[in-house]
Amino acid sequence: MVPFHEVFVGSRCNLQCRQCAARASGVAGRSKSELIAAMSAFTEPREGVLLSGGEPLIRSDIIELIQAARELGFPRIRLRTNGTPLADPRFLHHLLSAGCQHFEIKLFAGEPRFHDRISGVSGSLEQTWAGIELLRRAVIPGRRDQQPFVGILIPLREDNVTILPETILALVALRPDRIVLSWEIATESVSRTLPAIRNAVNLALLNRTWMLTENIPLCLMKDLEVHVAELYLPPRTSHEQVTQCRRCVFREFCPGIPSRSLKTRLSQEIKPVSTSVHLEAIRSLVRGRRIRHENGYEADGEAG
Amino acid sequence: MTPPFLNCCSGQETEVLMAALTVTLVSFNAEGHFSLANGYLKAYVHEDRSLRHRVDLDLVDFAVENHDARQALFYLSHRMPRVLGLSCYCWNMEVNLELARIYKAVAPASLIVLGGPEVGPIAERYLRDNYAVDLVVRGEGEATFRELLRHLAAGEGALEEIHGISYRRDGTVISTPDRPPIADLDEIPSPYLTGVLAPRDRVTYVETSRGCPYRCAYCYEGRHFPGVRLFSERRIQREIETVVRTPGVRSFHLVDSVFNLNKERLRRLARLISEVNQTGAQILTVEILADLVDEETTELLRLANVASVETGPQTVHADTLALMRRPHRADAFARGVRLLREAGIEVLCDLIIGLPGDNFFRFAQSIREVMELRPTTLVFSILHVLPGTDLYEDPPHYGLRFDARAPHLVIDTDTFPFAEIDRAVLMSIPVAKEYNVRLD
Ligand code: SF4
Ligand code: SF4
Repeated sequence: MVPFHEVFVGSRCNLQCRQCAARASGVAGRSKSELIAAMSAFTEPREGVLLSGGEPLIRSDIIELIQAARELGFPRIRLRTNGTPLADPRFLHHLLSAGCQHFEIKLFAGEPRFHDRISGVSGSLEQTWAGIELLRRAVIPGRRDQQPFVGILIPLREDNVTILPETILALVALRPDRIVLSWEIATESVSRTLPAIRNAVNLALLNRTWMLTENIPLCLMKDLEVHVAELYLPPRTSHEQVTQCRRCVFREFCPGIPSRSLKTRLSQEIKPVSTSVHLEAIRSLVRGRRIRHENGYEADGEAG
Repeated sequence: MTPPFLNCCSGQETEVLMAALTVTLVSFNAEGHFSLANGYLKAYVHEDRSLRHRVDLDLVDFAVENHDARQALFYLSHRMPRVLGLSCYCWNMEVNLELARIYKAVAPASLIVLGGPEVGPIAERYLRDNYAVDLVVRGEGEATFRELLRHLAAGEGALEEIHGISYRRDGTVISTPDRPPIADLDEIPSPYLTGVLAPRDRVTYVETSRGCPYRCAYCYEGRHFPGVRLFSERRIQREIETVVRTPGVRSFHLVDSVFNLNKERLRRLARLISEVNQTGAQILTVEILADLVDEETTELLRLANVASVETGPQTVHADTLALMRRPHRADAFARGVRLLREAGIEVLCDLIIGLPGDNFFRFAQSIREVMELRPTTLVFSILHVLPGTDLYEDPPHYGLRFDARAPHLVIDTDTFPFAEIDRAVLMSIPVAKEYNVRLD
């Protein structure tokens, strides 16, 4: 729920994930000065900054970027990373000391066979796993009572959604602070995968781990609305409403579906909601969410 | 594992007092802390000359997170006190009852006495349900406990004449009339000034008042100690002097339900603290109402060297707050938090999960709105329906269900089903961490 301003550091990566959106960006690497300028452009209050890529940790100037973010007054610095570089304890210690204390580790599955096939690098899950394990044991230098924040981001794809429950069970054993499921599939039907997603949410809860979903509209998350990330923060990617949304009670604040899914089955699968006992409460919650992108820091209550 | 530490257990004393009534007061506290409540009891008992040589009383503190009843029993098995007193709160009740049970097994003739806010309001229930418990001290304990020891050690008076106790006799539970709280708090000798407790850095609490003028439905203090009783300024001054002069003590806490309730007193206390606090020790926490904070308050808190304060709002929803009878003015609260932050004082904001009238989305909105005030730290806790509070006494009125056993967690309310409360708890843990883990 803490709003992080997101800065894209460039698409260079040590993995070769299939259908990686960053690789398609056409921006291999942005210069340090460009990134510092992007960070400085964010208006107050600067609650947090998220460095995403590509793989931010393969930049040789990553520590300097973190220090720059710190000097700019960001109290929370987060990295979205595939986690493999964190398996090196000395490097991790450097990161933590420099001021990076929030991590979002992206992985596809808890099974090396699946994960490594998607990441294109054999042995990568083992390293990611080792990185998470190290992070979970780490304490923040100088603050023996505080540990870094460790979130997991699972991009949902055709090839990992079926084994999602197994992935969740493997992950909860590492006790991450939170798991986010992010819908990224262009071709698959969301409805068909919903049972696996619901199952995953419930497994995480049973194992006392909080879970959020991204890019899955409220109407498809019936009874699991509280897990919809967009209720707490505006969507990370551009969203649009579709024709059916006109008949939905959530239309005045729901961002709709990801723009990139407009031409997929998702646009036909959404189910306008006719009533909700929580309409009022959700409306006041959503009103006043704050943006976390490079494009500003304004209230974004009336999206859509 | 941290070893339990003993505040007082001198062998010499024990030798002299061969025939004395042995009493041990045990407290399971948060890690590293010691029980101020037991310190008061000992200081009050010791003040009584007639008891000083008749009672051999020692205090022992354990950490509720790291120590268990068998460790406490190990300690007790060497001393085998005739009277075992347990300091009871909702969060240490389970271990207290276990200790009572196993100590009774090795010392059937002992008298096991419970006291504290968890047991006072439902003393008879604890006595009925726990054969190992012999007696419960209800309400404020100092005067009652001293009278009880006079009866036990010196044969003074009859048990039934001691007000404020419940006990079992021939299988029946008997409660004597309530005892009014001690009117003049200075009557209770200071555990620090009498040497009963040795101040230690970060975990020393100086109490400035008891009671509260408000009556929040979930709170014990306002309901059971209505009206505020003050320790004299002279007494507070001497206690703080002693605390800050103790080598190694760089910080301490104040105990006061609303430290900034009365501006005039705050002015006097702030000046007094700044005068005696020659070493520049910090006040780590004190509870305040942020609604009442203005520029002068922040100056006074700084003068007193208050490093951080703890405040509500518990929820941001006016209707829930009204139902809870909690004073709250949103604008004044927001302004108060801002002023405190600008003055460089850390602000801990508390939110309670599961208040009647709230639901998941409303709780999430509370988080969002409180985050926007940019407090230093967010603290979430699930509602504990504490014995003696309005919520405990009349759950149907609040549409509330809770666990009858300590720590009395809320189960659900008419507006907040269990599955949502459970989710709210699960969400609050990462949210608190995400917010609180940050660079200075
Ligand atoms: S507005 Fe559209 S996308 Fe959003 S919940 Fe309603 S139907 Fe679904
Ligand atoms: S919660 Fe605070 S203000 Fe309310 S009655 Fe209790 S001590 Fe007083």
